[in-house]
Amino acid sequence: MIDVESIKEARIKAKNRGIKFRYVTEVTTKNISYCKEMIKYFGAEIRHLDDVKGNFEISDDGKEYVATANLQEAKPLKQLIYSNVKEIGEQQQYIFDTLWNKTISFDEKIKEIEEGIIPEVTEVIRNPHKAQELEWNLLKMATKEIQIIYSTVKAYKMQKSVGVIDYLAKLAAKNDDDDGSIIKVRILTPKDSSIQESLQDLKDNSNVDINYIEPKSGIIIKTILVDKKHSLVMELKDKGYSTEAEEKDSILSKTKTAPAIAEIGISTYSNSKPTVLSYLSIFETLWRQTELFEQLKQVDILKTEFINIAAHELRTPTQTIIGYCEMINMFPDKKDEYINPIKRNSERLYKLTQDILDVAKIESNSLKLDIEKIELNELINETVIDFIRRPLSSINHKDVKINFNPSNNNNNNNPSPLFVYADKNRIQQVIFNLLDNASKFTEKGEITLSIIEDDAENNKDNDKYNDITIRIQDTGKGIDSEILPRLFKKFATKSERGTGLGLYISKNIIEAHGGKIWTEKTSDGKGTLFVFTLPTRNNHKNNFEISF
Amino acid sequence: VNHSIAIVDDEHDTVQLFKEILTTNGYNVAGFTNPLLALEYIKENHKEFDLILCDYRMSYLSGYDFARKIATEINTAITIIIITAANDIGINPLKLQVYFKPLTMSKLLDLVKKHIPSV
Repeated sequence: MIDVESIKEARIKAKNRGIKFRYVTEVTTKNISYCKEMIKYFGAEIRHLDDVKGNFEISDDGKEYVATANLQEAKPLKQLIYSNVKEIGEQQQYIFDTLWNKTISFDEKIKEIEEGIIPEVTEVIRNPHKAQELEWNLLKMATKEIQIIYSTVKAYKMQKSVGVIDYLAKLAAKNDDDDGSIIKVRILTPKDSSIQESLQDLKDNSNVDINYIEPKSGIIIKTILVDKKHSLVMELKDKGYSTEAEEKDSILSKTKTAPAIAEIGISTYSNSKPTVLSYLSIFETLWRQTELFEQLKQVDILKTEFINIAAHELRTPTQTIIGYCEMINMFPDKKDEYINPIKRNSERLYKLTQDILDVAKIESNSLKLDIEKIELNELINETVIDFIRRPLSSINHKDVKINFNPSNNNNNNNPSPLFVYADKNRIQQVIFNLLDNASKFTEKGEITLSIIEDDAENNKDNDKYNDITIRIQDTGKGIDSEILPRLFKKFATKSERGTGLGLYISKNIIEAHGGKIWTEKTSDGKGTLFVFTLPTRNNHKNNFEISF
Repeated sequence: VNHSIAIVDDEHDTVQLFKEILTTNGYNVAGFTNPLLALEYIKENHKEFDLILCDYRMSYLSGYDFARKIATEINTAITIIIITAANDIGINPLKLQVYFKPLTMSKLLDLVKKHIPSV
């Protein structure tokens, strides 16, 4: 049109008569300059369409139609189709308009070509084979991360059978390769025992992260996201069975099962940022939801356990109190004898109430410490006496002696005063708990409390406060190895008595003071040794209220 | 001859309480806080006992295991009643009678009288 002068002239004249030219073509690096000339000479509006082939022209809404199969630059035409039949012209006009509506503007395309931008597309893929091929290509293209949702059992099994799952495991383990890159693979699949079994090895031995969606998620698409840049969403035609049992039920009613590929419906590919990021956010939301669901289930288990333990611990002393009250009515002269178990068990109920309230305070971060300067030797001495005297004390029925070795740095008979900044009642509570445990598990022997003061000169780490260490050792049966890993956790108890809250509360109290608590092996391997530390300096900003 | 009842409960106070109310009502009572020792004793002297009142949640041996051992290891049909502070005891294949603490003393006496009618 530009190189053949007569054609060019005719079009310029037409332009001058007010004729408008519209062209649809595939704009490429090769024809950009040509297109620009057409715009310049004919005032043509040129728009781009990917892969458009063939050549035809229509004028005046289909009045005349010309087409040619092979058009060569500046050479005469070998064949030409011409028509002025109204219906043919109108039909061709319709085809032109359909193509026109799918185009992008010339300027946009030029920008893409000039700036080397990969065009952003969102396209519908109706051919399942093509979609599957694209899926493989996307996985191979990945450099950083892959997220996948297999929303149905079939979707997962299909991938397993074609080797995608094994390939993903390889990708995630790529860190041994030369380039050192790790591809982070995350998969969401339905919670189904057959899938979980099949993925267990992958979950244990690879970097592939797997979370399970609860059945009945309602999602019937397979989603593949690569490097936050590509998304491929495939509709599934398998009716969305999310467990194998459900799937089997349905297969029974079918005469034969369709090949896997036939289960893929329409697919959508996109590399357009808003689309890909939206799918990513759906993935992340589901991922987080599965994690939250697991956490909730754990909380639920703990709650049930708590209710069971609390029920047992509430009813047991209540039985004794109610029973003896009734007995006092029946035998008033035995009142003095019956009042003791009532006192003991009321104490026990009170202690349980306090423990439950403390746990509630710890969990809601509202446990307050009332910090003051206290002398530790005196405090421990007082606590031991209170412990022995309390009505609940089981120590009175046993052959167990409690020894206390006060801190004695001066090597004389008078213990040197030892000051710590602490909440007096809370520290007493911790010592009480530790003494209670020790006496519970010691039938015969002794419980020894001792204080060790860190020597400031021996402490090389100047930034560290000098701690005071308190040790409580018994000659009892020791800690059950089964319970050891969760000793300081809530409800950790092997004893059929007790809530398993004491050490949990103690740990939180000591840590709130800036100290630590742990167990150590005793020198002879027998009994139990609890150790906790308290800082000697006041490192609390507020002397009266510390919340943690 | 007075009828004998065994009380198995790892709570010392509960054993004492049940023992007190039952002995003052004319029963012979043997109390145990350790179910293993109870099992051993009852094995040797099972003819002495008409009824066992047993806790469920105990150290060393649960009330259910205790009842199973009594049923399988001793050729006896001593009635075992579970009296527990637990919320529920879950599955109960031995179809043991289960009562929940706290029981009033009159209820406890009624329960015992039902199994041992004449004192």
